[in-house]
Amino acid sequence: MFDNLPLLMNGFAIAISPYNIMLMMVGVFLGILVGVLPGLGAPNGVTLLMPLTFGMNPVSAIILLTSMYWGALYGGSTTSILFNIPGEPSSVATTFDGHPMAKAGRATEALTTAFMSSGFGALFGVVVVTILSSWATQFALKFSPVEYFTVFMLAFGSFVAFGGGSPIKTVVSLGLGLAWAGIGMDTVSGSMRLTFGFNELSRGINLLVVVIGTYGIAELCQTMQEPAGTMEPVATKLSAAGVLRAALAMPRYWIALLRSGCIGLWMGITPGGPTAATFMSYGVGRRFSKAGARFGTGEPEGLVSSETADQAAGSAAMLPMLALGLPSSATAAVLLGGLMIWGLTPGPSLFAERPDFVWGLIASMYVSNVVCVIMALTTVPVFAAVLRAPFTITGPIIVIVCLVGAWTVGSNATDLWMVLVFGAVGYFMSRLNYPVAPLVLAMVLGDRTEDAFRQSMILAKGSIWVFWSNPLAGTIITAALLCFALPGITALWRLARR
Amino acid sequence: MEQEKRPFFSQFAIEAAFALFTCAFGALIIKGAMEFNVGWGDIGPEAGYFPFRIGIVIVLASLVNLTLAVLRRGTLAAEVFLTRKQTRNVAAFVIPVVALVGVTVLLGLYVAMALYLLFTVGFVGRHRFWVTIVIAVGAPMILFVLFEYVFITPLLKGPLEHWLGWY
Repeated sequence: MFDNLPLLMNGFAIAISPYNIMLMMVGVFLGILVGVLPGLGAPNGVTLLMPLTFGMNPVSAIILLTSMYWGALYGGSTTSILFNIPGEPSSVATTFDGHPMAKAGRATEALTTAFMSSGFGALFGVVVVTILSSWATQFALKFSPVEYFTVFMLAFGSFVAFGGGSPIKTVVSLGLGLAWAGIGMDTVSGSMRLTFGFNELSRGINLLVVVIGTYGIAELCQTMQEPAGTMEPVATKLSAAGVLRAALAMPRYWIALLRSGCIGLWMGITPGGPTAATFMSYGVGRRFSKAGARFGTGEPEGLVSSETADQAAGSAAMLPMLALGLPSSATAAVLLGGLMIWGLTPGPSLFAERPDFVWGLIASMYVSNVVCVIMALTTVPVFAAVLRAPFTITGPIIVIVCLVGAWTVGSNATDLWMVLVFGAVGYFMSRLNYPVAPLVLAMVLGDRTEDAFRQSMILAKGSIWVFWSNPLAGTIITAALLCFALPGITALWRLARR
Repeated sequence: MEQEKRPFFSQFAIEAAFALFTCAFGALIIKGAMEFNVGWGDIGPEAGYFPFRIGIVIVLASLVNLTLAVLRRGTLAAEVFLTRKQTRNVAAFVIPVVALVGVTVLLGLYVAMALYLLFTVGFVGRHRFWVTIVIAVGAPMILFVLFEYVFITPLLKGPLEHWLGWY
């Protein structure tokens, strides 16, 4: 594990330049902004900024975009605590204890505890990413198309088994993503597929356009359905003494911090994602902690549980993304799309060929999370003011930002119409509890899943048993199949017990 | 008040309609895949192989969703998807956005967003005249400077910009 130390130091040398620090601050600021505003979450925010990074050096670009991701995770907590509005799906669990604390006049304590926990979670995640990355690449180097296909299936399967909600709806969501990914040129034979004679479709459907529609426009529709009028925060000013007191109290929650960090790590490395991590960590905390009975009434430990897991999962998600090209959250999926646009191929070879990129990113994660904690604390009054602006003004401006973003993706008017179509699909999906994240994941992995399958079949001359031809692939594919079968098994089990 | 709580669209209607929509989409994918060989060629699976099976999965899963919705029809039919008022709210948001895209294609993004902001902030949001003007004129100008000069990512322009000599 100490082999990585010099590499990390090199990474710091790359990441800590005045230009990159400035990008971090810009990214974190924009991230908090999108995290705070409804209709602009982390996946959508990163998507909107992506086209502007095409001309940048990839290291700076990824620093800007990942900083934005971290910032959005922090911004989501601010609104959860002050307004009881989760700015991000992953900060829903933060509202349970954060808002009651703020209402009881402990807003400073709640915000500080949340940000410090986030900072700890992120640091925990990055340290593990640093330690495991060499091992993960060694592991990933053993992968042939056969193993890749099994890992992709496991990613899809884990959404079906552990994503929460209806498994069948998750399957539809995955299917839609895979089908959309299949539109356009077939990478193996070169023929145009599923275009139905529309020339516009021959370029394929752009992931960024789908994300802007399904996350941006769809979320705005939901917000507009029941306009809340003006929102009033419970507090907008933080006292420096209160911040210090809350920060000094953090070591008291060391068990919760470690427990939630581990849960976050696990959910970040396996495709569970930050949202699932927060709920799991909160649930485990309520069940096993001594303070568990007070969860939900304004207990700081509840806040620590969800926030630490959120950030730990967010940072840990970078490991499978870089080493295997396997994103475990919607935002990681968008970042992965960016990697490919910058001409980088995620996977073990990335560590060998572009150590500057990989280690620059990992080092930047240490620095940008410190930037995050400081900026999140100091900008609370600014963002509270932003949220108090009437939504009849911010809403239309967000619409315009989304459309401008969609235009910059490919300078194509068809994309603007597509955003509306995907907005409608996304609106109905979220209102009917179809999960959207699996769709985004399936779109990113669609072509690679198909290629891996076809290459495996060519290697094995069409024998499906190739997926059980070695212990690694066999274990993963069996686990994947079990994941797909799990909801069915539990349903039958319940029927039998009745 | 009772009228307000009644579903304008019931959960059942939308649940069933969306299941039919995904089912039809799956069928479309199957049809698209059938234009190619959906089976096995000389070098393994052909171009239609994967989409064909994805289409089948979508159709089958959609039919299960439809069946589940029909089975739970009693409870779902009484649940609200959108009330009349909410439908009006969503329509009041969606129609200007569709118009924005339509006008963008004709007049360019900057002019279209000015008109859109004028309408949504001034007419729908009922903000004061000068607030509306500042936002509707200011936002496109800020974006113009940002995108044309700072990011050097030109946005879609229309007749007005061409007349002013910007391309």
